[in-house]
Amino acid sequence: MKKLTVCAVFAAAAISTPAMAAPGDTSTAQGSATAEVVAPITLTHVSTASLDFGTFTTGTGGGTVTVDSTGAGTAGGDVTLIGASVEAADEFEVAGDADRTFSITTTVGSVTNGTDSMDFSTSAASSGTLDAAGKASFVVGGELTILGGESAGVYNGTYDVTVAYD
Amino acid sequence: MRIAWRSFPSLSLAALCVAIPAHAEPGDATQTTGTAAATVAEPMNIQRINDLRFGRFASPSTASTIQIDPDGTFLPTGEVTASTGMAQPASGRGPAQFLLQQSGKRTGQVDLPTEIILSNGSETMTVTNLTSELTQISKSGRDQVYRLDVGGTLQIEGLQASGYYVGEFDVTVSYN
Repeated sequence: MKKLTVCAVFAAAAISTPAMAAPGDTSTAQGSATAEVVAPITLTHVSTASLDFGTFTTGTGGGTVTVDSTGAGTAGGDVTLIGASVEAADEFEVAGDADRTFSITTTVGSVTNGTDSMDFSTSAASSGTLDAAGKASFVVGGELTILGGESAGVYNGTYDVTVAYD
Repeated sequence: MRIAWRSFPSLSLAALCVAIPAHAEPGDATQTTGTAAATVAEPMNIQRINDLRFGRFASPSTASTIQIDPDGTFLPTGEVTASTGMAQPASGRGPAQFLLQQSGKRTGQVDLPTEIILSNGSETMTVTNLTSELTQISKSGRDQVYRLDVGGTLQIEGLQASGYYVGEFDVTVSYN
């Protein structure tokens, strides 16, 4: 394969050809340029929702509280959910290009009451599909790890959620 | 934009030999056969084989660009970069491609537009900075085939309306 040098100026190159272009000396092809723009994908946290691990006693040995996608909590180890405890899964809404699939990524996080902290993992579907109106929603559950002996109080924290078009 | 090239197979474009009469003696009638030859150049021909494809991306909130080079290099800038990992159309991304066929030793030039306007029917985007590269891909005797790759830079507005955008452009090759 030989690559030809492209000359910026064409002055001396036309020696062997007639000065006048005869019919048939030019050829034109029509090309196309294409691009597809899709609506941006946006993620909104449902403001009334939160990943809530409820109210529990830690016991001496600690344990876990697991919140599933329905928002139901389950205690493990020495941890005991009290009778009035309300657990909940978190909720997100997605808007974007109709019928397109997207990936969901959630991070781990921790909650703190200013003195002690507890780590949690999160669980969510790994992907979703926008409906014909370009809408979708999903929930996030998680598992909180309690070491045991944490001070009483209200613990708060955050985690990150990312959606991206497939 | 105009680029010129020169092809090098050394066959003469047109050779013309005219018979020269032999010297005639007075009172004699004599005849000699001469020869004549001519080569007629075949018209240069260009055919489209691929579109200039910028692929699929999500509308950015601020102005962005996507540059595609003749060699296929894909270079997004700005916010649009974040969505260029998304699933692409079957046609993929890449430069426009054309085949040029010519015969014999010719010089010529390729004319490209300075910009291409793409439209989704209501909104537009513009391709600027068209670039091209000519590569000889085959040669058989007098016949040569070149591939012309054409790239450019797509200018995407912030909040560009979604849709499928397409724009036509002409590429003209001519002998000089």
